[in-house]
Amino acid sequence: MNYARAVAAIIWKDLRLEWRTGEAVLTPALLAVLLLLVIVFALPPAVARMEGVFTASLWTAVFFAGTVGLGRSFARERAEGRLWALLLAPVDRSAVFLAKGLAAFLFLGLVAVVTMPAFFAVFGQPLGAPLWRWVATVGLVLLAYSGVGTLVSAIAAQLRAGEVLYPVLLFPLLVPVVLAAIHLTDGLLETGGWSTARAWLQLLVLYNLLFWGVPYLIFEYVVEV
Amino acid sequence: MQLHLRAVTRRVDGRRLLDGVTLAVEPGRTLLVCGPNGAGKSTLLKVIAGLLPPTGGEILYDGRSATRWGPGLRRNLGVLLHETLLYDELTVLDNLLFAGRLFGVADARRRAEALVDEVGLRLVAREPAGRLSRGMKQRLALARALLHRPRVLLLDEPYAGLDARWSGWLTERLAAERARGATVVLVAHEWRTAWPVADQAAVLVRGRLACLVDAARWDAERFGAEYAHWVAPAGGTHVAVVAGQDAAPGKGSGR
Repeated sequence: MNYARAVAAIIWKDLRLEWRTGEAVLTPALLAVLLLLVIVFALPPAVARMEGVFTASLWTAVFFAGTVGLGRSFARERAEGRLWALLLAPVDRSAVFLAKGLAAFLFLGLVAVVTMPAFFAVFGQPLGAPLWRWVATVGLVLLAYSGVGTLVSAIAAQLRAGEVLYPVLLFPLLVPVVLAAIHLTDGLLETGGWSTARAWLQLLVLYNLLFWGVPYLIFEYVVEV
Repeated sequence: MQLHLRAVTRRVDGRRLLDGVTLAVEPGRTLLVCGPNGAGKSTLLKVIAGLLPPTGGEILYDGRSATRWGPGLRRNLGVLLHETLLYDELTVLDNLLFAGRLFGVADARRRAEALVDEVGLRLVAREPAGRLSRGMKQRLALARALLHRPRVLLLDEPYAGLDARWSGWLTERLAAERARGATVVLVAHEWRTAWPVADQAAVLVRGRLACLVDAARWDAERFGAEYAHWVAPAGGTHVAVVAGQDAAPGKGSGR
């Protein structure tokens, strides 16, 4: 009960901070839309209609824009010793990881809700699959992204040039998620289901278990100075 | 809550930040920890709070090792660090509400409102904490540390930034905390301000306890005169560390 209350308190605090700063949703969403514009202007119309271009553009924008907010997740806690305040909570310290990860997932979800329809509209791409399959696919991808992103953010916050190093540390770990996202999206567009990308779906589920399970167990040592 | 440190040591990269610190503070008593810059005062406080792990020795609360207490121990700790632990973007009230929710305070809002009044921040209660002056932030940080009625108060430079009026308030508040049985460890570089609230005074020099005296039996003038010897580079360190048995350089048993 105390654990759940502490998780809820940290999420509530992050929501309040987001309301006041717009760092985790507004800025990344704006960046994703700007990336969309750059892609649209850069690609010749014939190339934009080619197979795979839509999927690659969509996820490139979402992943790059997401780092802006995710990178701040723990960097923000570093100022004024705020991380100490979280670690003083009378619950297992994994609660801090869980809360920050869930808040990041929520924020990435909001970024996706704002930006993905814009990509579909600009590229003139029909959904091609039931909405619930899209929600499940995007949800799984963003869950994996927020899990690994939160862990790397916690590690980067302990480093001197953490905010600069954050994307460099994050993207190599993200490769399996990016590949899974692209294959699953292509599968949805081509067949309306996951039958052609079942192995990627399984990989994504395993990745989620790994990058939510391991930090949950080791977070105390990650934040230990 | 009784606090007992047994030979607490913390080494980082071969440097001894704390070196075999042994002391005890009884419930309802205040320990003033002073010493020169870099003596390890703030490190000691963070180690007691469980924010930094000791590399040797043991910390006991009510005779039970801190590691055995588990996370629930932290419910009993009210901590003020050199950093404010505040979110500049959140309002004064939201900062306190967040702390209350994090510690599971049942009447968090009522408690937060009462503390806002007590520390004189009612007029700025809905202002972002980032807009407060240094002294106002310090009062808010103190309110945050007191919010969940902790049994142990660990305060790093609590008088920093406070004017005469609010220094007086803090002295009274600490006396009230002592009266309700709270154990207080107070770190102060400028120890004279905190002297009236101290039951014991410890001098830390280069991570080692140079002395531990019963403040009730020492007046500030005498302590001040001896303090210079204790913190002197060439001597005075590692003299007696016996609570209740006043010790000065040359008088106590060396370690």
